[in-house]
Amino acid sequence: MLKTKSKSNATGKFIKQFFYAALAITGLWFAGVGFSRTVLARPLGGDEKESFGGHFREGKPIKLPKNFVPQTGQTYVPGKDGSKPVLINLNQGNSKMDWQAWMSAVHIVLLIVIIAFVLAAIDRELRASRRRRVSN
Amino acid sequence: MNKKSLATDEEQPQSRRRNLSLRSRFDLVFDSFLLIAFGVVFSWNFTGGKWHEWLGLALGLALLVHLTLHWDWVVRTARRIVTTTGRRRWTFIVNLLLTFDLVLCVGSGILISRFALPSLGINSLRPSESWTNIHDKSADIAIGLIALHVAIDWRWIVNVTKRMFHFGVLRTEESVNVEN
Repeated sequence: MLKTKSKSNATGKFIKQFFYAALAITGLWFAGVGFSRTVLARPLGGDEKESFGGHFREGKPIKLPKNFVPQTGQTYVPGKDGSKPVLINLNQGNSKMDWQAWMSAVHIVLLIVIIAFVLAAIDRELRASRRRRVSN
Repeated sequence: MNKKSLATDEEQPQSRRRNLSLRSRFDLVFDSFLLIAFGVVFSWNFTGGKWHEWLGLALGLALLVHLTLHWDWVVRTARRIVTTTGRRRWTFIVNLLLTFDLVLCVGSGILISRFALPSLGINSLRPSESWTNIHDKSADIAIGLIALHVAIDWRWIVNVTKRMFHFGVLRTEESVNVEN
C-alpha cells in the first residue's frame, strides 16, 4: 500500500517537473527569439521579409554552369574554380544512413570526452594548488 | 557490544559506499546514452538526413527528461544563485548556456526539418538559410559546452563508474585481506 502510494507520488512529481521543464524550455526559446527581435533588432532566423539583421550571411544567387539542374528546395555553395555548385546540408542530399561512416560519431564522442578529461585535469590541479597555498 | 555487532558496524559504511543507488546508476546510463546520441545525431555522414531529424527529435525529448530529472537541482541552485559558492554559480551558468544552446539547436532543427515534420503532416515552418546557420553553429558550440558540462561532473562520473563496475573495490578488498 505504502509502496504503491510512494510510486504514484514519484510519478506525480515527475509529471509536474516535466511540465515545469517544458515550460522553462519554451520560455527560454521565446525569450531568446523575442530578445533578438526586440532588443538586438537582429531577428534570429530572419523576420517575415527574410531580413537577417546582417549577422549571418544571406543566400546569394550563384551562377549555374550549363546543363546543371539544381534540386528544388536544396542549398548549394559555389564549386571551386567554376565547377558545378556543391550541395550542402542533408548529407550531400543523401537521406539514408551510411553505416560505413559510423566512426564520425565515435570521433565526436571521443572529442567531447577528451576535452572534458583535460578540463577536469586542469580543474583538479587548480584545486590542489589552491589547497596547498591555503595549507602553507 | 559483542565482536559481531562491532564488525557489522564497521562494515556498514563500506557496504553503504559500495551500494550505489538506483538513481545514480540510472543517471550514469541515461547521461552516457545522451552523450552517445549527441555524437550520432551530430554525425551527418553517418545518419543521413532522415535519421538525423528523427534522432534529433528523440534527443530533444530525452534532454527534456534529463532536465526534469535534475529539476530539483535547478530550483535549489537558482534560489541560492547569489549566496552560493563560485563553483556552483559557474556550474549553473554553464548549464544554463548549454540548455539555451541546445534549445536553439533543436528548435532551429524543427524549423528547417525536411523529412520528419513533413512526414507527420507538418511542412517546413521557416526553412531559411539563416535558421540552418544557427542550427549548425549552435551544434558546434554545444560540443564545447557539453565537454564543459561533463568536465564539471567528472569526479561524479568516475566515482559512479568505478562503483558500478566495481573498479577499485576489488583492490580495497584485496588490501584488507593482505592486512588481515
